[in-house]
Amino acid sequence: MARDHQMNEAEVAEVVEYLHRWVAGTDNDGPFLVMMGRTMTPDEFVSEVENGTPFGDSFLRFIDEQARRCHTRPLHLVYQAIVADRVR
Amino acid sequence: MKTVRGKAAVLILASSYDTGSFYTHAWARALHEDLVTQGHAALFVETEAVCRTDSSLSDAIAAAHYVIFYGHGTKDQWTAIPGAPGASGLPLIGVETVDRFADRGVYAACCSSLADLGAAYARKFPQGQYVGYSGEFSFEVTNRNLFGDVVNASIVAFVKGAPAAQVHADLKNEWERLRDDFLPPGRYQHNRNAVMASQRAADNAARVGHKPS
Repeated sequence: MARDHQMNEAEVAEVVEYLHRWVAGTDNDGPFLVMMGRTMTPDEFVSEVENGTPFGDSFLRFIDEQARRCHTRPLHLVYQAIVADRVR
Repeated sequence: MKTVRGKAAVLILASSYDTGSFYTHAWARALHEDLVTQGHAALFVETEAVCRTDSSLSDAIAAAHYVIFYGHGTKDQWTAIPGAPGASGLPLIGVETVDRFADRGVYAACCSSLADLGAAYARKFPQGQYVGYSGEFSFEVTNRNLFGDVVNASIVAFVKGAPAAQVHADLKNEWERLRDDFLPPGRYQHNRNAVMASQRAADNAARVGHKPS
């Protein structure tokens, strides 16, 4: 499936690896995102990104765009989620 | 129906039959407290208690200046009661019963209803005001109270008399501000799941709208 963002495969793989680390610090099977049509768990979220679904790709596109706006790397935005989970 | 000295009569309708609506029901309760303590008249009604065949819903709407809904929506209805697996839910109000809104101001904190239900409302009430979402409404659970604060603040502005177009514009700005607050150097950048929450706020900004537009 063609990915709809400017990250290369190595960057995507790195993000996915970090998302797996993030999941390890969460209630991985608990409610995480509420889309008012369905509720997604952290495990499901990572699967969507890893499998390149439209929802998963929208996340990669979002962090790619926002990282540019914030003058940082997409990976850094995911890293902050990991750190936040560990300090609590 | 005119408000008296800036004090409005508000009907808050909320469901709480699953995870998402359970959380938004808490936002609805907080709004109820805010409005009542600010001197507005606010009636809180559980959607499970009223349905399309219940005249009490029409009576409650007739007594209100504004109708606020928290729960699940589709393009053409607000859902009162969930459907059986594979079936659609029982509507609270749908395109076919849009007359029930009379000319009340309407705020829909749910998915998608701006599309068809909002359009039907605008055709029926060209001078009316409907604020809602044209697609999925979403939030991140850990930071849900920040999302609820954005929703409730916009509803308070609406019932204090802000026109729907202004509420829409301000709400879009607030969702974009929340999106940025979750990113560096924003004040919530170190919150748990901040980047995921940021994307939910960005999507809400893109989907909020008003009718007639």
